[in-house]
Amino acid sequence: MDSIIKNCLESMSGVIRGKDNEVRLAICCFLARGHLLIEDLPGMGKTAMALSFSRLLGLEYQRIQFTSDLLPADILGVSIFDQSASDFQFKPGPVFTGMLLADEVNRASPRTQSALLEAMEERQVTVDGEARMLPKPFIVIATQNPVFQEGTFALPESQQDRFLMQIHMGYPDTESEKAILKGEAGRLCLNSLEQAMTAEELLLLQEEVDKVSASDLLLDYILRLLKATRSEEHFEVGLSPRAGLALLQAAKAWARIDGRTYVVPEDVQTVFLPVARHRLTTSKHGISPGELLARVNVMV
Amino acid sequence: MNAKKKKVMSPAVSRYATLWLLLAQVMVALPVFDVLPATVLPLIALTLLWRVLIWFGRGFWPNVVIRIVLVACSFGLIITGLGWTFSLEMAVTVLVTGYALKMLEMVTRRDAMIVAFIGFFVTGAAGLYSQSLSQAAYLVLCIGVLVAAVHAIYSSPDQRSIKVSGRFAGLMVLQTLPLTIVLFVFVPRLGPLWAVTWPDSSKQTGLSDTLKPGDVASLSQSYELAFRAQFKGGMPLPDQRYWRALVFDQYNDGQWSQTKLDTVRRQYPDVVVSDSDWQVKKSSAVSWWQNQPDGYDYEILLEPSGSEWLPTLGPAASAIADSTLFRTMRIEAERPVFERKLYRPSSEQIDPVSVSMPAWLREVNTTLPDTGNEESRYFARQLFEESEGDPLVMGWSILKFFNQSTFYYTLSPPLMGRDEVDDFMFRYQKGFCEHYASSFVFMMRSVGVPARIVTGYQGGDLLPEDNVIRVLQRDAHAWAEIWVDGEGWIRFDPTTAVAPERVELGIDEMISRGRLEQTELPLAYHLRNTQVLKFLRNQWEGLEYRWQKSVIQYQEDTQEDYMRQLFGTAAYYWHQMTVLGGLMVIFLSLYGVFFLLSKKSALSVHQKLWLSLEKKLARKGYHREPGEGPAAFADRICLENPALGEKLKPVISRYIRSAYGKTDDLDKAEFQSLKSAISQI
Repeated sequence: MDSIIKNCLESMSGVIRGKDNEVRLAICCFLARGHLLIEDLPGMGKTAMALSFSRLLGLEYQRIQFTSDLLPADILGVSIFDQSASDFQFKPGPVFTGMLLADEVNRASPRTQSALLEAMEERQVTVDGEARMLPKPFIVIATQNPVFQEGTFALPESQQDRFLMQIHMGYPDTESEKAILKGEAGRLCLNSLEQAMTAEELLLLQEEVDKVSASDLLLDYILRLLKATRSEEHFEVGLSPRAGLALLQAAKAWARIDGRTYVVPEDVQTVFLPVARHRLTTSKHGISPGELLARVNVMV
Repeated sequence: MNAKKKKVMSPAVSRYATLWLLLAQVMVALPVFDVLPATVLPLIALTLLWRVLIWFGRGFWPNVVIRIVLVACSFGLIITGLGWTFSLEMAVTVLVTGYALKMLEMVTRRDAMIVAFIGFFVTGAAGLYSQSLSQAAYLVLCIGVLVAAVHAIYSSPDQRSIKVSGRFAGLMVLQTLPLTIVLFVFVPRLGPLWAVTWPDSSKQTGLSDTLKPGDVASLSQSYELAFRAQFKGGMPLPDQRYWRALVFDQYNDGQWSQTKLDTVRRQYPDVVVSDSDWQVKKSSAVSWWQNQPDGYDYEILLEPSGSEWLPTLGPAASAIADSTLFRTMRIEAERPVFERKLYRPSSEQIDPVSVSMPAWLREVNTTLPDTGNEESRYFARQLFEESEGDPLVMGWSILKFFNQSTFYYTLSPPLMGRDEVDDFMFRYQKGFCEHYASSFVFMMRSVGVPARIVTGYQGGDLLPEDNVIRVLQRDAHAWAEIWVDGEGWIRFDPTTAVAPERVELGIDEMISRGRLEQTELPLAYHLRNTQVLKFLRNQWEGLEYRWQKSVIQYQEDTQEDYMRQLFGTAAYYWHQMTVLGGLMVIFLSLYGVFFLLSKKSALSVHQKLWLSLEKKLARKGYHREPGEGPAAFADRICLENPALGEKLKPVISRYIRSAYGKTDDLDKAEFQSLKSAISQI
């Protein structure tokens, strides 16, 4: 199993240059059964990364380009009258897939956004009064442009919460960018990517993550972190218990990627920013989540 | 003061804390409520109402202009209410008004703390006005509420409940109690570095310096405490309990007053040559009479009266510390009594036969206006002739007249005219002790017998378990003394002739037996006379007495006595300091032990182990940042000091495995070896 993870990471580094940490975080997110939100400016490799993962993980792949006139039915599917059978037939939408890339998710209207986000949480879709299960595993990778860009509908806090992690791509370093310019990375290499993992292996890995243990000492540290976010001076709204669970699950997944069967504080620290950043709003005179991490005592 | 600017400095105060502060404000202001002039009360009420409206989100925060107007208004109102002279009342009023106004600009935590501290200050000011047990208990409660308010100011949202704040404050107050008691008992009393002048001498209670009809009658309805007397050994019987306070021997225009030193020096410049002919400060200088050493041994705890008189049981034989003895057998304090005063009157008794009576003194005690009250003068002459010039027989026959005519004893006598003695004797025949005493003295004087009125208190309730007699303002009484050659001053209580029970039973019993014509009985009278209430009242007053005597009166002298009793040597002061220091050390070490224990017990074995490692590394100059995990810490040390890092890294990774790995049960052997590995670093 460890070799599979290693394989994944190596293959990805060929496509997405200089973003090893982000790739690792993304895999961590999938192992923790979470959905991933990638936020950055256009052209930073968001879509390329999402595409690469679909190939690597060998999941059925669908992509929806979100636009302002996209309707819920375009995602979930519709019932069409079949004259031969003289009955309504359900035509499943693109959401019935293993991996869904929701590109530029914040360009769609809130109504459409919420259709997708409900499917993410419930892992089932209700159309015409009938609940239909989504396949397992079901992973959503959403990309969004920063909200200050034109023509965007910001995701409400409650919906941002549905994403286990939010990562930023950021500009590549000079060396990586040079490699990209030389054509040693990007879309061209993408096609040559080979599947590194099957859906069954992914489910197995997710179960292994659940078995990673967290000692009382570590849980106390997580509790201290949560408590610190709830003091009203720094953040307008603190982290919810769901966020606490997400933090623990992500830390477990990170420990698993490292090949450990137990979580250490550094795991929590690594996943804290991607897990917590999109859930916290720093108040006027508060501190950033990163500074909070530096202030909360790890040991006592 | 810009609210925005302040917000940067300190976070806003929570609604929950504001509620506590409002409660504390109302509670703290109550004891000083009757000190405040009526003019500022509406302002304070308005301010509080405003703050409550803001709390409910219905009001707006006053801006600078409104606040300035409010402050100006409050100063105006205070000046209108109290005038321009600076007094304690004014200081307290300014404090309380400021306390209320400050609520209107209480935006941040810092403001809230200031408000809370003013609250503590006002609590202290309330202690100036009353130090009774009930007041003390109430003020401790106020302090508790203020502590809870301070707790509320700094509480995080999940701690905001009345239970949590109340518990915290209660524990804190209870924890300070033992230390308070030790400090109270052992810290040497120093005299005040500065003293507050108490200019409000209008607050006299009890007897007044002059005697006019109606004075004593109004007094007798008051159930306020006048003083308490504690006896060692024998106690006087009820009919011997004449507490002497003032002696009236000057009569002018229907008003009796006391003879002053100036008066006699002016009137008798040839014979009254020195002060000591009228008053002395030291008992040794008395040449007016001889003393016998067989009186009662007792102490008096006098409530503040605003006057100088000090009551004594019977005639005062000699002066005590800080007091003046007058030739009228009474003592006076040097300053008006504004605080409770504990004193021990001389236990000596005057030998009545030895009292000297020079001619001028005889003249003072027989002087009457030339005219007025002709009927009474005529009546007195008749009686004097009938008794063949014997003043004692004459006295008895006046008493007989009171007894056999239709005289009534009443709490609300009618107003007398210009010839008030005639009116009383022959027209209305209704009056209180002072009417009987003054008429008696008038008639005695009119036939040349020296006579004077003595006022003070008569009777009092016995609290047998404490050997204490408690005297209330309603026990105020007036009686007469006449001079009999060869026998000295003889006490006559004309009131006994009309109502003998008045002297034997006290006023309560008389009213209940219907012997007293009473138009309006105070409600308090009915309340006082159920058995349960009586019992409770006696218990409470006994408690209050002990509080006054052992706590409030625990001053320099009593402390010195107590310390001498405790240590029995001249060097008691050093013993006192040693005990104080020793107790402090014990307290501090107990506190330290508890502190350490409470902190230790919250830590797991791994945390303790880690802290010991951290301590070792700190000695080498490596301090872990709070947000640094063990592995990151090890990595940093590796970079800075590879030699140490090499030794450290395996130990830390073992620690990580032990602390964060499988936690179902601790591998004791591994933990012990890790422990020894850490101790070797």
